[in-house]
Amino acid sequence: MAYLAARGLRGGMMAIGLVLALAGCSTMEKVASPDVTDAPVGAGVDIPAGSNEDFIVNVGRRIYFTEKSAELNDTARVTLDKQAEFLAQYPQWKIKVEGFADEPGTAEFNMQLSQKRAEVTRAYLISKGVAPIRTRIKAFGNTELVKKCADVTCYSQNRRAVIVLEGRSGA
Amino acid sequence: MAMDRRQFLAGAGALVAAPTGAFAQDVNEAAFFKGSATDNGVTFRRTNLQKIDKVWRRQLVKYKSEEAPGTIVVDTRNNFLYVIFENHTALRYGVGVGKEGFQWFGRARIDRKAIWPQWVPPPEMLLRRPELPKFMAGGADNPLGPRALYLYRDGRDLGYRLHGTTEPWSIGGDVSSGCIRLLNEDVMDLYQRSPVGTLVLVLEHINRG
Repeated sequence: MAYLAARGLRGGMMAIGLVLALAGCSTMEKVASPDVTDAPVGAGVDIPAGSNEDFIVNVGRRIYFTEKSAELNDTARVTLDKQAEFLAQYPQWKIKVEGFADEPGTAEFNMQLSQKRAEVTRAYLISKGVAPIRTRIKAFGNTELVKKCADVTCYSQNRRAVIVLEGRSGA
Repeated sequence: MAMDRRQFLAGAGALVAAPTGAFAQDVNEAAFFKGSATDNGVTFRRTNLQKIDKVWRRQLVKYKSEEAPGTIVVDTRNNFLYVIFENHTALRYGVGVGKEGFQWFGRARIDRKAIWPQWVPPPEMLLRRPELPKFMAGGADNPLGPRALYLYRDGRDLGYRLHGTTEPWSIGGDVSSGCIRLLNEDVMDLYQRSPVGTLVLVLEHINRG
């Protein structure tokens, strides 16, 4: 996500005054610097169609799984269907399908489950028209957790697949 | 002031019953809709996003706090809801905060989600507005809109919901009833990003100065 921060700092300085003005007295006590809550990151509301930010904000990169499962539920399919549409509309992108797990059991078990999640996700996107050659997979097991704690508020966030856009040629 | 107590209370009552202060009586409601869409078999009016103030539109922002990525934070004072991402960023939505939305704060968990949820108005609301039905099936006229996310704590339904709206002009303001309302497109988006088990932190509402 470092690229987002870089874009935000370049483009964000001009937008900050506008954001502060629109937010009114709720931000009067904030320091006018780009590194505070509510400072814009990226393009704000005028996101270029087909950009990585469009994918993140308007399509969604993540799907979630229930415990020990690599099955896609209805909610996951809604997101993946939108991703397939985006990828059909913007063929310059490739994707890396990342699988993750945070299940009771060994690191090996988590690695296999995360691999399965990534494979199932990729297979579904291919079934919706994404050319296999545009896709690759990476399994992370129970590493790179979003949240670390011993309850469902963390597990639910970690049991995921993330579809990352890559390899865009040009801007 | 020369106003007597009865006049003051009548005025205060009218204020509570009115839609959000910034838009009051003259809002051209039709202008806030543009076209229609169908979702899960329900056809509904789409929001005209051009009429929504940019500050209330869904966008990526910096988010500096102790809260971990994968947490939803509801700021009822400033009418924002944040989904915290990695690297001190968040996806921020504008919200309308209803009376019930001010009545609770703290940590909760989304234990249940619904698509085109049915609605049972709380007893206090039925007292205030006896013309409301006791039960309303899900659909385009239902004030909860296309999605509801139900907040629980220790297995108990708090009665606190994140939901959609039939009044997109009310986003960014305080409204007389309901919990936390988002634009319908935004609550559908939030639903996709919020698996059951997601932690929600509702910040304490401190009266505006």
